[in-house]
Amino acid sequence: MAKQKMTVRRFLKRNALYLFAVVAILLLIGVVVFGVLLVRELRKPVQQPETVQQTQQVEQETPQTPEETELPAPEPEIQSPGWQADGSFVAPFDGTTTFLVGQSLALTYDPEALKLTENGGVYTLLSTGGGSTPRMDMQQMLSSLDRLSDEELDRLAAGVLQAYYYVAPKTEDIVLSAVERTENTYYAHLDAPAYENAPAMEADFRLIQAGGQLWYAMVLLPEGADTAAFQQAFDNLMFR
Amino acid sequence: MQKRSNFKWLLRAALCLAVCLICAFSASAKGTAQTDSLLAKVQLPKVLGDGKFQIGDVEFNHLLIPRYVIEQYDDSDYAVYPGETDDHVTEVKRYLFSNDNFPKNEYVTYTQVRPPKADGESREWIETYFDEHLATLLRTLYLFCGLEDKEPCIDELTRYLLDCLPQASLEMRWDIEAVYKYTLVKEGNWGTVGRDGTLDHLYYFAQTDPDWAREQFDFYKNDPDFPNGVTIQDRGCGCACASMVFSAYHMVEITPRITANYADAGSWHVSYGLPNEYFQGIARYYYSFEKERYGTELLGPKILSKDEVNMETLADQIGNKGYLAIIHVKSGAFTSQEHYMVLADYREIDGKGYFLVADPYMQSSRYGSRDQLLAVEGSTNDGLIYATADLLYRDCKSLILFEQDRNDFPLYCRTSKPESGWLN
Repeated sequence: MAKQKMTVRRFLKRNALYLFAVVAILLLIGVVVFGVLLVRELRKPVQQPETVQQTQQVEQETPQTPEETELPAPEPEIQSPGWQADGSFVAPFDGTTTFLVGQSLALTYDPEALKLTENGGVYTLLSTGGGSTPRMDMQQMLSSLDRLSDEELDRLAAGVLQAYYYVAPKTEDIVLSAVERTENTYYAHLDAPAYENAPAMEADFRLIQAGGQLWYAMVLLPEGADTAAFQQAFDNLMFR
Repeated sequence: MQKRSNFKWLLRAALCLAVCLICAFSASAKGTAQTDSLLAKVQLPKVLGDGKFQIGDVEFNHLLIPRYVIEQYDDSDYAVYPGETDDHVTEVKRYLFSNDNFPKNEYVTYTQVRPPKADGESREWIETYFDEHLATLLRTLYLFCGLEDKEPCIDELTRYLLDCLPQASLEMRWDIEAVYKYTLVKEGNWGTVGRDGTLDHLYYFAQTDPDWAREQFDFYKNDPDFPNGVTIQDRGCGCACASMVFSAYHMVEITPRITANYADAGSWHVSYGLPNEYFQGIARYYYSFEKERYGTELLGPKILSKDEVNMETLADQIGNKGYLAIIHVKSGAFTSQEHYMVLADYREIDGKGYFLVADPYMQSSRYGSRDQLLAVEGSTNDGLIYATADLLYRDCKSLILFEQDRNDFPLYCRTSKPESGWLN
């Protein structure tokens, strides 16, 4: 018999049963994967933000030197905070700047309000007036942002907050909100309930990928406390 | 041929795709291990909470286990609950009973395990049974770990917490043990566990218990008058009563084997009764037996002759003040010769007063008459019986009275601060 030319139609006709079996298997796998992802999504306690948080940029003005000249003094050059083209750093506000990660991560804070200490690789900002809270802590994490899923990042945020407790509330009872992830950063606001002699607590958490290292920063914001200086330092963390 | 090769090609493609999907899917499941390893490196001070909790007026310190470690065990492959029998129960009981693991703790007692005397001997059912004492111990452990809402069960988390115990300080382990024993006393569940798993609600030891009934007193071994020797079952009622009383005041199981050894060591010859001075001597010996661990002390007893005994006063002392007494009886309702028994409680039943008698010779069928005796309702322990004051006084020869409240178990904290308890 002469060999028939294999057309697409003939191919489909010949292998209909096998094709059906393969499609059925693939559909089944797809349904299972979809179902699990759906359940995960439903169980996620994250409240997605409605608006993206904007990082405020503070312009630093160079003070004018009062001089008597015949010609009017030139306008001072306004520089954007951060690293400049010549390698210098312009702080986001008038304060003390400490560099981490070999100058890739800059922490600026008000030395009148806060004091910085370091212990075992953990950098801590505390009030100059004393007390263990409010506070801000920073430490390196031995990983990188691109290796961590959204779920893992949420878990880390809750886990770092839980590390402050003698007896921590359950992860499911800690509410994350305003979660935001970019290529090099992750941010979340956390609300923890009162638990085991600890009051309810709010906190901000940030992960920053800078200079090949991953660092977290967490600021504890107890209700009724003056947290402005802490929030200023946290919000103005800069990296390159 | 063509069809078969097409099919094989299609099947291989589908399988490859399926494998890729499964790998991608399971990759995210490894995230928990990754985040846990990162959280293990977080070095932050404890500034939220104080790591303490209250029991009555006493403040205790928590055993600290990080929340992410606890949540690793959220999905356990097994869970065994009180009232069930299981190999997991056996493993836990043997682990807690072992002197190798806990030489200075009594988390699980002799009667909860009934260990065989020699290798190769069969083990008892009670070892597999999840009794109420074990449930109370686990509740106590959960309390110390900040998991007071957890129902007692043997699951992966519980096994992990138990594995953490040996590395806790001795003071912390004693705190856990003391709160556990205190809770048993407050709930009225203290004491020995019967072979059927039921609680005796007091420390009960029988001279007829097969574990030691056949063991002989040394000082009769070469006595020609007793060619077969004298066993604990024959003459060990005084030793068994001493065991019951001392166990109650020290809240640890002191078996008749131990008190019989004391009789041998001190040459307190057990004929048809020990000399009453035996009880004073052994009380002195065990005066501060558990003082270091629990803070308990056992004061010496008062020995009263029959003429000095007032049954009405005794009823008040035992029923209301928590005293214990060992009554020495002569031939009568309970024995054909002489016998010792413990008066463990006093209560009114249907308007009539009865002493709760713990008779170490567990065979109530041998009582000549049931007159003025009442069975203990709800108890499977054949060694317990209610008896009226008149009957007991009639047969009484003397009384060894321990003027201490058996329910007075001291509660205080031995640790100075919360402890990190997890296996890092």
